[in-house]
Amino acid sequence: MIAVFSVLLLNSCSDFEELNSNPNAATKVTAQMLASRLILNITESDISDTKGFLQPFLLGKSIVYTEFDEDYQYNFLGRGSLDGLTVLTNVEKMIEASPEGSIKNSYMALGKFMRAYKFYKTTIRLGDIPYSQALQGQKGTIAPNYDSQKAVIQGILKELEEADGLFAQGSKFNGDPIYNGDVTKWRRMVNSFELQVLMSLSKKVNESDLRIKERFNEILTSKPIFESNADNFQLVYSDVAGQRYPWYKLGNSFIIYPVSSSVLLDELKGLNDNRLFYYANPSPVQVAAGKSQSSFDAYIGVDPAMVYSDITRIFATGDFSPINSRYSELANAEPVFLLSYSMVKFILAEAAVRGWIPEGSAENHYTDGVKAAMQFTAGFTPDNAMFHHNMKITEDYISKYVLTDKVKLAGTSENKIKKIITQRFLSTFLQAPFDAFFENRRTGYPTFRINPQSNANLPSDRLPVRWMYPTSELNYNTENVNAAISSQFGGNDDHNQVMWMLK
Amino acid sequence: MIKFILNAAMQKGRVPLLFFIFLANSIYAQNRTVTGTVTDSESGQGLPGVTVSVKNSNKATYTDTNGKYSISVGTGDMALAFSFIGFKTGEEVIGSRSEINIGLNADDKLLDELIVTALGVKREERSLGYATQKLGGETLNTVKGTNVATSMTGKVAGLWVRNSTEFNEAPTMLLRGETPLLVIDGVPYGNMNLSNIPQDDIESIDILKGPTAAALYGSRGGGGAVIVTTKKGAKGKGLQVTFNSNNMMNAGFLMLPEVQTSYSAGLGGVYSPTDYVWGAKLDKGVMANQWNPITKQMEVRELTSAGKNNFRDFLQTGLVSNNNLSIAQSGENGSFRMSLNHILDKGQYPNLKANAFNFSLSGEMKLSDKLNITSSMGLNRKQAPQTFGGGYNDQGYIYNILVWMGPEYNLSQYKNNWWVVPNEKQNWHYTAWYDNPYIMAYEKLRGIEQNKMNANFSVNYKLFPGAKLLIRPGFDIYSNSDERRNPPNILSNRGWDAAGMYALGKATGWSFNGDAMLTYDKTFGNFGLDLLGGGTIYTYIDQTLNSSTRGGITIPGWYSLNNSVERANVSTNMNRKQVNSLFGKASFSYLNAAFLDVTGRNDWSSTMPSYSRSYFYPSVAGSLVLSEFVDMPRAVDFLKLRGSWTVSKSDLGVYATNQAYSTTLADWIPYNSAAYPTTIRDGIVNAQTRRTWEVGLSAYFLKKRFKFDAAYFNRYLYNEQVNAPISASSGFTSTLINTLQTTVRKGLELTLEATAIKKENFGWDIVANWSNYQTYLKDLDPVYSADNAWTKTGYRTDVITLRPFLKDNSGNLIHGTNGLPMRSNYNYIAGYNNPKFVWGLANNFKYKNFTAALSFDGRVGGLMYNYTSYKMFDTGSHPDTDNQYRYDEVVNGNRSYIGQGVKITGGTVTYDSYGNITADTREYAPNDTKVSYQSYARNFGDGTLGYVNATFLKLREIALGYRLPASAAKYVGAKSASVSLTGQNVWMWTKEFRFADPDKANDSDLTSPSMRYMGLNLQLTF
Repeated sequence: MIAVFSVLLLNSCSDFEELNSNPNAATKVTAQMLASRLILNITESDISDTKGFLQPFLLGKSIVYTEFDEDYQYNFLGRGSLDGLTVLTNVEKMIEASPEGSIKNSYMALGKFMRAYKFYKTTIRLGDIPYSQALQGQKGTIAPNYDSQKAVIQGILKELEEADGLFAQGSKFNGDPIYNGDVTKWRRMVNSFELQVLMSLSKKVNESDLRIKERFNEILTSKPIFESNADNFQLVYSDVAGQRYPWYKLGNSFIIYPVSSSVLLDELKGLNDNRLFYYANPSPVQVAAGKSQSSFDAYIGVDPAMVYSDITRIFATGDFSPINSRYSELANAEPVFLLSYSMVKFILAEAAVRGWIPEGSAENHYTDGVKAAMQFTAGFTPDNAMFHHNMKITEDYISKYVLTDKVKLAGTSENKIKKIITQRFLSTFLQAPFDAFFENRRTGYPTFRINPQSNANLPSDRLPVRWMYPTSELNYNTENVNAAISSQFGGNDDHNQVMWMLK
Repeated sequence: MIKFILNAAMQKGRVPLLFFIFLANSIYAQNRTVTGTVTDSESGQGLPGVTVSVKNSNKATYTDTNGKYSISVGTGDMALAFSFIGFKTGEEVIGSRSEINIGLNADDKLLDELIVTALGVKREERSLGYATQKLGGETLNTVKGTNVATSMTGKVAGLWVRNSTEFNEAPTMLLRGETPLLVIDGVPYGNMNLSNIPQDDIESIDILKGPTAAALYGSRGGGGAVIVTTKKGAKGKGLQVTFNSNNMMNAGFLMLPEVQTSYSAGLGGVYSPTDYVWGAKLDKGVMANQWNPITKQMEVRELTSAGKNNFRDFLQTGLVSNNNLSIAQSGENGSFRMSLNHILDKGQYPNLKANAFNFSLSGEMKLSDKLNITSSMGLNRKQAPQTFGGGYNDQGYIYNILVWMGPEYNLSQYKNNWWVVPNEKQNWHYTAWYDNPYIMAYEKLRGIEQNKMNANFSVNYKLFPGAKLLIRPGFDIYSNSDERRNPPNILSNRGWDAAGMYALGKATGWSFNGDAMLTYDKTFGNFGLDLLGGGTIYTYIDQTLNSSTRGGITIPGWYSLNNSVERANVSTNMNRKQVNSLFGKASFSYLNAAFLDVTGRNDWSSTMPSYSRSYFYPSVAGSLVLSEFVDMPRAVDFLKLRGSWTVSKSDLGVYATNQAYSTTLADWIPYNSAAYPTTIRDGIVNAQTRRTWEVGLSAYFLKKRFKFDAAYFNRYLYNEQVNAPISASSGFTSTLINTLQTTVRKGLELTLEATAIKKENFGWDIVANWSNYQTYLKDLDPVYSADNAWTKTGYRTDVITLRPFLKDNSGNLIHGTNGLPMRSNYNYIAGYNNPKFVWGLANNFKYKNFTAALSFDGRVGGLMYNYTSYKMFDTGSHPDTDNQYRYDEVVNGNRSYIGQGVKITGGTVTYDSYGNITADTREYAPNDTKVSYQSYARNFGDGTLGYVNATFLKLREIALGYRLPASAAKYVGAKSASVSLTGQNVWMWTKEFRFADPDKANDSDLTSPSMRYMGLNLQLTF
């Protein structure tokens, strides 16, 4: 009997490898599948949907939310995360899986860009992060050292420049839901994104080894950047399951909570900006009281710094502006961009005002940015009174709008920067998640009111400027994260500590 | 314990004894009748259930409850034998006597019960070096619910049964903190569970505690084993037909959420059927525009507490009807039994109903003196058209009606009246989250259909004296389907589809467990030797096919994949595994009073990498009946010491080492995507190891009126296979390794069985169980262990950590400038999850033909998340929020609430990465900021963050029985009949837990009302 068993054991053991291989899981995939996941990670996943979609706009003060006294609404940032970096292990696999030839340059370029993008989005939240030793877990580095934010940023700039060079030698690749593998458009994105990174370092312009101005000018003179809204790095939605606009009503019970913020609405009202009628609905109470839906007065924003219980009272009365119906009624309401032509134009305008590039160009860049932003909003809104409340943004309106005194770029440099950042803020309503927060952090514009009676930051007379390091780092990369905390912040991991790029 | 249980059962006159009595066989030729009484020679009381047989013939009968018997004898019959477990067999020559009375002497050697040990080997308890406990089937078949595990709650020391109040959710069993292996008739099936075995089919259940007991089951038995032996025939010889029906109805609730009924839905003190229950004061003449479900339009009406009984009115009367018919016959050369079982289970919510059928056959054939075959097979089928109704995440009825909706509408007006326009517009006053509950009950359906079959046979062949061969293949196969559907325009669509959905899941699979073993017994004078050697092949495949409509359904009311708007979603999965094993055991005994067992087992598992696929593990166990060697005090009848040491190893999960990509079909049309896993799976991984040692003693005292058993175990877990978390900046969030972090689990189990009162007409027997265990960190991994304040040697592993509310040095709550309490950015230990101990107390009373059984159990200590209660502070439905501050705020518009504690007036504080304060210059003043009570309550609740002491006590089961006199039973043609008033989940007390039954040890997803079941049991034997 033992003999019989031994035979059985020997026989079956040789089959054990196969038995324990999951026939429904892929051990080999194509470069294009990995490219799709990478690109969707920074678009679809980062944009998120329903409540997650709105969160950045609570922090950016363009939405007020009534479900809870939300952390972001009241400026509690909590802890950040490094989990977003894990998607980057796909970069190496994508390049390995790529066919040889120029297409491989495209995948390598995409990989460099992805790395730069993800590390950038991580470091601007936390400060120092692992970079040079990161992503090597399978080679044994499970607790990477932290690099200084400056070193990380230098790496990012280098990788972006390499990405541009590789895309220039690349060819159309598959798996790209944004630009359909068009390497020229990708070059524009890579370089435009580098402009955004450089501008975010505006406080570091005098650190000559960063070559901020030089890099800025090199791009402007010799590399392609966004030329129109058609170049926007944006995800286009359609009426298909899983690909609908993130705030679309189907299955979205959260549509009952958001309220338009007074920060956004008052700014629009002050500029007589018709985007008010495209971003918000009038207060039903005001309309019932006889005001026209086309009247600026019918639109009432709620102060996001108001104590939550006061907000709920207003909410219960119904006397406030909900966000525009098109966001919930249209499955393809508008694309959501991460970086737009307008934003790039505002970055250029700011660079001109700061004297990084010829100052005379500021006005044109600014005007182009405002026009493109309005064209974007108007272009994706159906001609339906329900969505524009009969206050249509026409080409005629736009060309008059940019000439109004309140809009026109004038005054001191500081005043110009205020106008530029304000227009950037107005152009990123439900767009470019977190841009409003980071631009406010960098420039202070537009002003976000601080109310100690509601502010959850400590001390309550200021806004937080960073997320704390994640608990998982404290638990599993203790020495390295503690070294980073002590070298940057004197050992105090806190929401109010000022990271290198903001000093 | 068999003796105890039999005694208890007999004395109570409950059904079990029907198996033993009135089995006089009339088919044999008879000349004359001999009658008599069998008594316990010590007490003089009649002994029921004694087998009275005529020597050298097939004639046999049993004594009745009073110990009386009657048997027919022929001319050639020489003597009668009287045998009964726990007593020495008596013999009387018949001669010419027509009345033979006998007193039987207790047999100390037979104090031991026979325990079914690993691989189905029956052994005397005295020989075992590890802890076991036995439950007779008789104790389990009067109060019959839906799952026998409920009746086992508190009956075994070290076994923690956690019962759910959710419909169709089986209890979970933890034996010394691990899931025990279920073995049925010697076969550790891969897919069977206790609910697949009708309670009436159970002959006995042996609990083998810990890995030594189950060493021969290998890694699957690492958590001990629950060994079920089913009935194979009639008791004694002849035909036996039994009918056992237990019907229990919902008779009130032990735990049911309560809500405030003074304020309406809404926020900020204003009525609004949008969300929350922080609305207007009711019954105060406040008028509001409200939905009228009768006229189906908005109407201005007064806000009243019209719906304060909405939830109770919504509930239906649950019931459990458990019926069994069995026919069995035992004869010279074998036995046969068939049993048909049906359980109807109606839940507490409308439309919840499940029908479970079981059909089983079993039997035994003695083909020759050498060859014996036993076999059993069972067929299970369960159908439930709707199983949905509980949960927070699932948006069940408590979530809807109690937690999130107000008391200002009358739910009964929506009954049978849930559409305005079918499939388009609900007759309902909400526009998000919450549905008309009647739509959920009747149109948002999750139905199940489950079929399962199991079969085994076991061939025993005597090769030569002392040597036996056993071959025992066991096989099970299942086919389940899970159907979900919802109409378009439902609002509670988490996990469903607001555009309508039909989803079909199919799960099929089988498992095979085949054992072959050789045993050899030999006695050399005072020494005995048992050898066992053999092998097992265990293999299984599980396959699933899941599908659902995508993008909704096109034609309302047609629920089919063929009605999908877009091409339907489909996915498949298959899990498969095989483990081959060789094992051996050598047992040595001396004077049948000192025993030593040595076992070894080697496994080859398909889930392990080739280099660590083969792993060996041994065990040693010994037992010493001290009372056989040393003079004991008079009070001690029997004393045994035991001890064991075991290594038990276990393998990985199926495909755990596959470094495979995850892929998504149509991730963004037309693109399929793939992602590399975030766990490193290709490291070196060896078998996980548990080393357990255990000591114990068992003793009988005071003429066996008391039996005491104690066990202490120490389980050291090392080489643990974990997905160890690592820094995400490495590109991975975890890595599969054998961690150097080790844990020790220590536990104590105590059992006391006592005959408290033993009088002629009155008896009271008690079984008490007490057990605990805790797990501690022993060694840390220098690389992979977390670096935090509670991952330290000697700390418990069941720690609950959370970000607490900040307090100053005097323990005052610190408030922010916004007047609200502040929470720390760091986690600290809040308490522990595991109970200090769990206990059970079973009482059996008997008075003449009446019996009463009452069993209590409970847990003491440990924190548990009381979400049902805690969440209601946020939503505004908690009864404690109905207070003066709320009233003042809503009715008078005064925000008068000031949180008790302090506010910071200056200074700062810094922390290290453990959250220890490194510098603190904060200064405080009493908090004086008036805030909205609504805001405060939603932030702070009751300050517990939901974690409260889970201590509870429950009256688990009661049975008040009456056994009809034989003369009465005859009227219905039965040999015996009994009726009992039965109850399950009868009464409970909790220390701090509110609104939810802590029995399941989990309220984190809300808990459905805990139903009290009361009913009637009828048992007839023909």
